[in-house]
Amino acid sequence: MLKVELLMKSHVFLGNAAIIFLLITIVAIKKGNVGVSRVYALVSSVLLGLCSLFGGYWYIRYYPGVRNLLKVSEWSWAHRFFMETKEHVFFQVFLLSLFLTILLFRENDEQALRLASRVAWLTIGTAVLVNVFGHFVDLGISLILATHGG
Amino acid sequence: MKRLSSMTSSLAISTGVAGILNAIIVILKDESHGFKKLLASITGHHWASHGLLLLLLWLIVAFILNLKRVEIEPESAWKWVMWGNIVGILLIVIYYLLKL
Repeated sequence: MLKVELLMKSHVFLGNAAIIFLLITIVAIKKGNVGVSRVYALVSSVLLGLCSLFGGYWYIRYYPGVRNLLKVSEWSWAHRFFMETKEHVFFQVFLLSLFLTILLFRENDEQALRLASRVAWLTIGTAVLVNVFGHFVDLGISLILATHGG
Repeated sequence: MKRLSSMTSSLAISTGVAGILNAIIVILKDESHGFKKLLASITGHHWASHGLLLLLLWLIVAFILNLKRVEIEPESAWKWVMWGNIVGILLIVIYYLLKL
């Protein structure tokens, strides 16, 4: 049970850490530290890559048991809307962060850096949406486990 | 205004296109059991195959555009990335809301 908990928490932690690195990427761009911003953006992409591996493993290996209970419960929305949406929108967060990293490594004029800031904000916004939806999934899982004495 | 390099421009457009392709794959997967089974047969799970397919499509679209030496301005790049992402998310959200 501890392993399952750790797996679940670790992908949330990695996702949140990626958001923090995206925020400091924006700060570095604003301060004109392009070299540093490249490193931060790269770190956020790596964190999101790891997040997809940890989260994906939990989702494929452990989630189906809870999902089957959720789907037939009164909290089926937790899976049918929130999980279904977040598990797919996540792919876009990862691609946005990859694009941001490549953009910062290849361009460094003022307009391109402005674009990089905007892309970083968009990535953060999308990641926060996934995060919030994750909390609703978590709520559904807590309710179902409470009901079934898990 | 200075244009972005061909590779960056191509990746900006492919990022926007990938947002919409993502939603299309979601809908196809849910509407066609055969497509979902096909995806599952590739890696063992449809979600993992979906992610890999999207990554591959993202690269292929960028590669083709880069071959054509497409170059766009940062403002156009932003429109591609933003609208592709927003439309993709909206399509997925609306699709699952309708299925509730």
